[in-house]
Amino acid sequence: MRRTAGPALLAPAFLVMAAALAAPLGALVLLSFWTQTGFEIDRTFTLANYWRIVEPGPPTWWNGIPFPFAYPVPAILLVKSLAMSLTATAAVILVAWPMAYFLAFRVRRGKAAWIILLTVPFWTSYLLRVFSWKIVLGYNGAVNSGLIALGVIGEPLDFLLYNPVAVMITLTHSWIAFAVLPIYVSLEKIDRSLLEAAADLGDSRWARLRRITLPLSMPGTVAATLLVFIPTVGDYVTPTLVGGTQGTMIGSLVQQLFTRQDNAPMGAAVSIVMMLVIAALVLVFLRAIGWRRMRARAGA
Amino acid sequence: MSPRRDALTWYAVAFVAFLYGPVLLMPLFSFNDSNFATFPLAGFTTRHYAGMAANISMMEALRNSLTVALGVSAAATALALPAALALTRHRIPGRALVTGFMMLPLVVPSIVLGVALLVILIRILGVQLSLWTVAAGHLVVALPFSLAVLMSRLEGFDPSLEEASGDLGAGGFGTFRRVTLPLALPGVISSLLLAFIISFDEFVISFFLTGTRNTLPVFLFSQLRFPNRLPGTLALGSLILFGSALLVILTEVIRRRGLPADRAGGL
Amino acid sequence: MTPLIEIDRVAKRFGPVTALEGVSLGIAAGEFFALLGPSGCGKTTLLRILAGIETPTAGRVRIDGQDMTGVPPNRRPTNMVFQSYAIFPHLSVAENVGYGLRYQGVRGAAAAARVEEALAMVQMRGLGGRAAHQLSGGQRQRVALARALVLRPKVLLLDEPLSALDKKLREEMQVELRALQAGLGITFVFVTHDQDEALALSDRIAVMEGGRILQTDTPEGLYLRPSDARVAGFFGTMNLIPGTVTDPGGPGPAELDGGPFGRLRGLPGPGLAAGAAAVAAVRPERLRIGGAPGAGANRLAARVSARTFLGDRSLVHLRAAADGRALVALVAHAGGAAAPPEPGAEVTLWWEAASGLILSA
Repeated sequence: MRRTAGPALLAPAFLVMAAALAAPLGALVLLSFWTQTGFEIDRTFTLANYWRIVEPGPPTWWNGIPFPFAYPVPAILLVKSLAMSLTATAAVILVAWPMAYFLAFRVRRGKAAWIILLTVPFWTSYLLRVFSWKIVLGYNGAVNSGLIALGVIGEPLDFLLYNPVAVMITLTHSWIAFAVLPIYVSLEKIDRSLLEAAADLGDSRWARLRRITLPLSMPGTVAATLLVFIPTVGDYVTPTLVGGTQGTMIGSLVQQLFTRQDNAPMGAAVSIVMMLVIAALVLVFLRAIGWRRMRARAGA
Repeated sequence: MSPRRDALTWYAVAFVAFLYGPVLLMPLFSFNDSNFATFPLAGFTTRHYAGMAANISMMEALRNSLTVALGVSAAATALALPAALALTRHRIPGRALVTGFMMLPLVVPSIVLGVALLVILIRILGVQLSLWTVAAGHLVVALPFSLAVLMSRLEGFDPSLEEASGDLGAGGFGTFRRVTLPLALPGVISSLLLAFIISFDEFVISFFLTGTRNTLPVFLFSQLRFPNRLPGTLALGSLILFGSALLVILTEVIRRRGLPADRAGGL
Repeated sequence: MTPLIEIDRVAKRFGPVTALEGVSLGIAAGEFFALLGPSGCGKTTLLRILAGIETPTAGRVRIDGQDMTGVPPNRRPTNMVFQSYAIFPHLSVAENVGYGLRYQGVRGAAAAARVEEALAMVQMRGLGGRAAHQLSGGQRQRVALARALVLRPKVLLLDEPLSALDKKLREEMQVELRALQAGLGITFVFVTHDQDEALALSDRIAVMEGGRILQTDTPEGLYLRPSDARVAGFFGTMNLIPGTVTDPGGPGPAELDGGPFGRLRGLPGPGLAAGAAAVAAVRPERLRIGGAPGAGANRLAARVSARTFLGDRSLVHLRAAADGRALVALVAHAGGAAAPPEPGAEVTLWWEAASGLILSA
């Protein structure tokens, strides 16, 4: 095959991605070094936006944690978003893992049908799936009206919706099906004779799960963790629809900075700090668990 | 091992119930003869659906969404097919890096993609927001999925099939037309469907990049704020859910055809 | 007569890896020729260079006097049977076999007739309507053969053509391939890692290792006159005793100083030089146990470690007294000869100088 054929075939897609992905992200970085002065953008290079995010000031307390910043909103929301996202991710993995195990080890016939059953919700309108929780948990929602109709409560419970817990439940619900797939793939790859060998050497069912299945499923489990954690930190739809004022996350701040607060450079800086923090956390996490070694060991 | 009705099986049933339960409330209440989504159910009606066709702005949003989704679906597949061929069949310098870059939208939060596109379009290029800008945003998120589907399809068949075609006398284009394309066809079709669904359902990027003409999810979002429009919203949402689910099932069935069972789980 | 295929100092590098270093070879028209070697020896790369799928880094290939440099696979007078057979899964058997005919301007009824003829040639008459996925392993191989032969190539290239088949089918197909080649008179070049297959099928064999050809010869030539220790070890079992050449021989036998084994003599292999490292080589069936050694025979003391009964023969495993080296002798029972010694017995092994070889190591 001709040497130029490959690059020529790749070029259109690559150029589109360069123009519609790399260039905008570059522009966002550039914008974060500019400042908003009234209605104008001051195009002098400055680190002012980043400084503003970390500028020391009298501490603001949030959930017992002091944030010693003059403008504590981004820091608080970032920490809060990371905490909510991590909680939701942990919940997702805990809920999805047994399902993946069921799919890999228990389902014999109709595996494809099961996988499709799990895939369908992920691909159908994220907006509507989140909105459905508003119907479930709302003041006039299904849970409240159902419980009233059953005579369990007299008045609607008003603590169901518009709080961080509602956001985390909704995030968990949105991502569990997606997380099942990578875990399932790594479980499916496990050579069944390894489990037979472990049993033959004296391992009980639980010991096999702990000593063979769990370690060998780690590549998929870690992949699922990242696939859920990375996009949920910056989620916008869920906190907006079910979070209320208590449940806002950093995505909402970015949106507000770009629209209502009309401070796009600050919004750009917050977005970039958010992505850098996520990337740093992911790298630290992968280093801590020895990702390369793990992948090599599982033959992934 | 025969299938057992044990705790794990019940867990799987509960999992599916949790997965589908909240979503299925939407079609349930959309047929409920009440203006609130509450129990007990008041009786069956289709009146919430009857009003939809007369809702001009909804119909316009639907038309916009379909237009954008069709365009994005065709463009993403047309760009991804040659790129997938290049990445699976040709020597590309820095292949891993290039693939990583093309897959970047999978890990960048959509709100960041949305604002980044907004910045370059408005502040730097000075472009008016329109359905074109929405489509550009959708293309960025759909392309990695199209690429992944097509690459996995192309990696799934023996490269000596194409070598055999050349050996038997076919030139580059002949081999593409007679061997590569027919074998990649299920991948091409599922790429088309997947990119369509992604674009049709996409909300956050559209929310930032939409001009005067709304897409359906943006329209829907604007309706969610008005409790009195809830029944109509439920009816619309139910139809969207139903349509998307059909398309996804179709995509998955086509995509899985001919894939070995152990690869069926991945993208 | 110039050979049909002339391979002239062909080298191939994949990045830092050298697959072939300067291979030269001539293959005559009508030959059934094998490229034999372990995996990674460069044999498949050489075959793919002949097909035009790979381009050599240096050197050139001529087929029928025509320089093939820059000629793509679809313009070459060669066709290939792939290791995986590469049967197009979306086409029927007849469509697979007829795939290349249009590029030779053969269409319609003429093409159908050629396809049927080719299917008959591989014992698949009337099966043209079958779908690719309905075929058994043996049938896939036949379709791959018919698909290549229908184009009447000057050279048919076969990449491990029998490795995907089970043992019984492999033996059947060996006979069939041999008959097909003899009947058509087309030059067959095939790649294999299986010595027995190469010996059974080929007129000549090139033994390859590490991107080089070690020796090219007929099966008999390779077995009886291996050019060095590696080739000797590749075909059947060979007892090898290392040492230093003391007399490279000439017309007469060569001599080697085997250290604790003393002086050993044998027919000289190529490239011997006095003082160079070499091995004394002798086949198990040429080793004698006990009896009366001739005057100039090589001899050594050994202890029997095990015995395997093979019906008309026994395989005797021994340990040399000099260094504990494992040796193997094949003893025939025919004609009421003495039963081979019991394990543990101390024996004298011997062989005539003309039965052994002195080969460069």
